[in-house]
Amino acid sequence: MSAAVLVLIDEDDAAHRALPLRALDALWTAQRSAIDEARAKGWTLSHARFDRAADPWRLSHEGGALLRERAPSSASPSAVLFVQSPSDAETAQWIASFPRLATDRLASRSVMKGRIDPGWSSEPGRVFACSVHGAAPSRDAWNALMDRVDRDTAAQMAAAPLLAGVRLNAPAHAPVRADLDGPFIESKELLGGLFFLGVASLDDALEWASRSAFLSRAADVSLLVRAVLR
Amino acid sequence: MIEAVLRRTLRDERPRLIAALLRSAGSIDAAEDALQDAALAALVQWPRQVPRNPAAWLLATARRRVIDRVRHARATGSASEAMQRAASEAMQRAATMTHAEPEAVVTAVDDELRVLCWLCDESLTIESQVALALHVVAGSSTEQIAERLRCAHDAALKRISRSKKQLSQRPLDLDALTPARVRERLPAVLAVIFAMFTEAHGHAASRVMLDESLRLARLLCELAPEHGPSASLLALLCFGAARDESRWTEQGESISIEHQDRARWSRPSLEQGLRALHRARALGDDSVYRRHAEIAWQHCAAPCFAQTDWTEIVRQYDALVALDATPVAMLNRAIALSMRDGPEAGLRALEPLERSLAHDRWFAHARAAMLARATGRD
Repeated sequence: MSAAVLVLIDEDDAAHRALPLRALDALWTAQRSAIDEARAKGWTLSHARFDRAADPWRLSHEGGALLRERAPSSASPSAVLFVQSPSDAETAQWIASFPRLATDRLASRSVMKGRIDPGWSSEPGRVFACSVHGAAPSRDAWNALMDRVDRDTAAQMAAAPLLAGVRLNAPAHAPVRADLDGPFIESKELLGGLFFLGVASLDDALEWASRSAFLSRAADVSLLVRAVLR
Repeated sequence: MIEAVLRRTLRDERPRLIAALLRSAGSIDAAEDALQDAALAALVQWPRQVPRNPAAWLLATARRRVIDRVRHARATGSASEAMQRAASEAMQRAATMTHAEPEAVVTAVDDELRVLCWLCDESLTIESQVALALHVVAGSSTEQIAERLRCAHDAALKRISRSKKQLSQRPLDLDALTPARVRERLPAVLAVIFAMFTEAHGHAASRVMLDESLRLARLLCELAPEHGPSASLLALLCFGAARDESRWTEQGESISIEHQDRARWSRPSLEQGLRALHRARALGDDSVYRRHAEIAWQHCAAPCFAQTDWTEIVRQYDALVALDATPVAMLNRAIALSMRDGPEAGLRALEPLERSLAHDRWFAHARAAMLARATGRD
């Protein structure tokens, strides 16, 4: 198996709303068969869709206090796809041909570690996605920052109701502090990783997320929390 | 006006009120009696001042009635142990609650699914479970239940009282109903939610009952995301809710799908329904709910009535009838057939149903419409 990829899908909400319902049904059917075909070939593929009806929460640390605020819904992608196939070229080709509207945007990021098994979606209960965003003056500094987040997360969140999680590599060509991070154009921060919590309510998810020690150690890191559609 | 508020509150909030009361009252009859007493008290007291939150008022009053009854029974030495336990719980709750507290009802909602599962006891037949749940949770009249179960009024009445008696021997331990236990009872719970939805669908201004069945279906989908029939039922309910507002005139008369203003259908609800339907398809669900949802989807997806895909609808009805050949399903299949192949084909499909649906007004209505079309065209 080659390196895994996390695809961030940013749908053009207005274009989707304007689509006749039969066309929407056909689009979703095509997306599902693309996923089914990849799985039939033995690829690991999982799909999570976020609830864009509600704005995500952003947690950050400022002046020694935890800050909790609403972020615009555009700060969150519509969905993510975790793809792992035998070859990078096949993965890239599959992503390029993934059915979508012309104005939908896709961004791929290579996964450093972790995986999202399709099994998470059959777990009972509510699921919330937490994504880690960071800004740093250089690639090395950003990597160092995410290393620390990684260590802190492993230590602090060991007991959390974690369903799955991935850490992403810095993009190969993009500057680290820039707005080239696919869907996350509203934030000047780069997505470092994503994990799913299986908890009963948004409050519980925010409670777990608030315990992330890395938030208090660096002002340049933030966590975005939002509901996953079941 | 007071009576209208009371009637509406009792109809719309009953599931939550009964669920909340069952815990303190300890039995269905005691919970129903307490609610009845509270309603009588409302008739006396509300003319002076209608409470800001009528449901919370009723709940608080009913809980005090439960306590009063136990005190009285204790004084006369006739209180059972279960009654005492329930009463002390009720007293604790009452002590921390005032009339103005709207959370009183909100916090009780999670109990409702548990109550529904408790009513769906394995020792009862599925018909009895549905009848009991409709009666206790949805507050349907015995006439409505008889119509739903297609049995005589007497039979429905007997069935409910027999089921109540049988259930009174089971411990009312709502906390023992874990998600795993709830999943075991999914078929019956789905049947009840489907019946609640059908009940709500038949009346204007039963939006709350509709939302209630939707909420329960969503809870079930979270509880058992891998369960196809739950996803199908949720899809069906979303499609129903999406069209709800366009289904009634201001006078509360129903508007047929042909004349509904499709621009008023709720796009977000339709999309939620379609998501659930796709989930059900991915899970390979082949339940009756899937067929109902697919049929509803065909109606929702048509840009206008003239562009309804009757071929696909007939195909879905064929699949539905293969699973569950009820006269009502066959009647609706005949209607779809008449739209696809013309009124003569529909009339032919109605013939074998004549005996079983002789007194059914929908049957008469459908046949009259087909005859009118057949003669109008000749």
